[in-house]
Amino acid sequence: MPFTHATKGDSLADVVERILDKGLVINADIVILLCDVELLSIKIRAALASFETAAKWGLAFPSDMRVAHPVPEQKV
Amino acid sequence: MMTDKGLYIYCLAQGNQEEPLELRGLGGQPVMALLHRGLIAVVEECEAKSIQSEDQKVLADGLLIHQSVVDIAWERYETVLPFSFGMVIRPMDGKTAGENLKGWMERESEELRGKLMRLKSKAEYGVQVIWDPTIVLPKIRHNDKEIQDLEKEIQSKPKGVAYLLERKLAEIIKKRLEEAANVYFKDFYQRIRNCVEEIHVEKVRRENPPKQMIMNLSCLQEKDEVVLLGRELEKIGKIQGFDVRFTGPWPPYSFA
Repeated sequence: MPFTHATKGDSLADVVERILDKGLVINADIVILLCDVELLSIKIRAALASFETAAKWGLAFPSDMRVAHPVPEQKV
Repeated sequence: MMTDKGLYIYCLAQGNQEEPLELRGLGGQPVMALLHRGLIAVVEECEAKSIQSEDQKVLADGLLIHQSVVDIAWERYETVLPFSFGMVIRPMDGKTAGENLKGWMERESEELRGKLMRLKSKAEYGVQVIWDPTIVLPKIRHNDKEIQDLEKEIQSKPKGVAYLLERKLAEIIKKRLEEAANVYFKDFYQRIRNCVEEIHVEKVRRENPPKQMIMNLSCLQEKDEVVLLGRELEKIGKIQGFDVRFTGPWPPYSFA
């Protein structure tokens, strides 16, 4: 039954498509952009067009998405 | 909180406790939950300025960390409104970034609560249908008299004329494939539409030739009710020449 469970996004393209193109946006002057997101988007898409380049940059996506680092034994 | 700091924002949720998520975010700082009247903003303190990094690897890692934090927050709060990548709330007009963010949450409160209500317990699923036209084409050719006649004619003509006719044949085949892709799209769309609550049609992405993506959808459905969708996709995936990619559950980026 291969399709009764979806696979967690295993490709960077899936993540890029969602996180760079979508999601909630605040259109107000209280917001600045962390970086030139448009340029980042273009560059990452260019990289994705070439799997070889993507691999060179180490963009292969881990199957376990939990790359955020736990804060050890302390409450902040 | 220092007044000159910014706040990187990951997502919003509903809740009443300001417990930290015990995670470090993309700037290496602890991820915090900022509470304001029943709404929680999941944020991380950062410099209130853009970074000029040319290092794509750093930024690509940032994307993954953003997604990861939203995922973990989603598990904790059940329903989240994920933010797009890269937004930093800044201090302004003598107010801290936190005060500015709370002010925005206050102003948008009704709409944000409405969205959270609509997305409650729901997840986003990605559905992509990819076909191999070289496998589908023989079926089309088999049922198309115009193509068959033209192929016979090509065999009976001298080289020069045959060349021109071959070009004509290639045009017809291209058109028939486009028509077929369109018919398949409509059929699959309807079948998938019946299994989900909302659906967004996305741009198709490039595949390794000769394969082509003919459909790229974001679907919204209750987290625990995707069995029907899964079964329908399984049927589509069994059609000769077609592959289906089914990803998720994702936080509802496309529906936020």
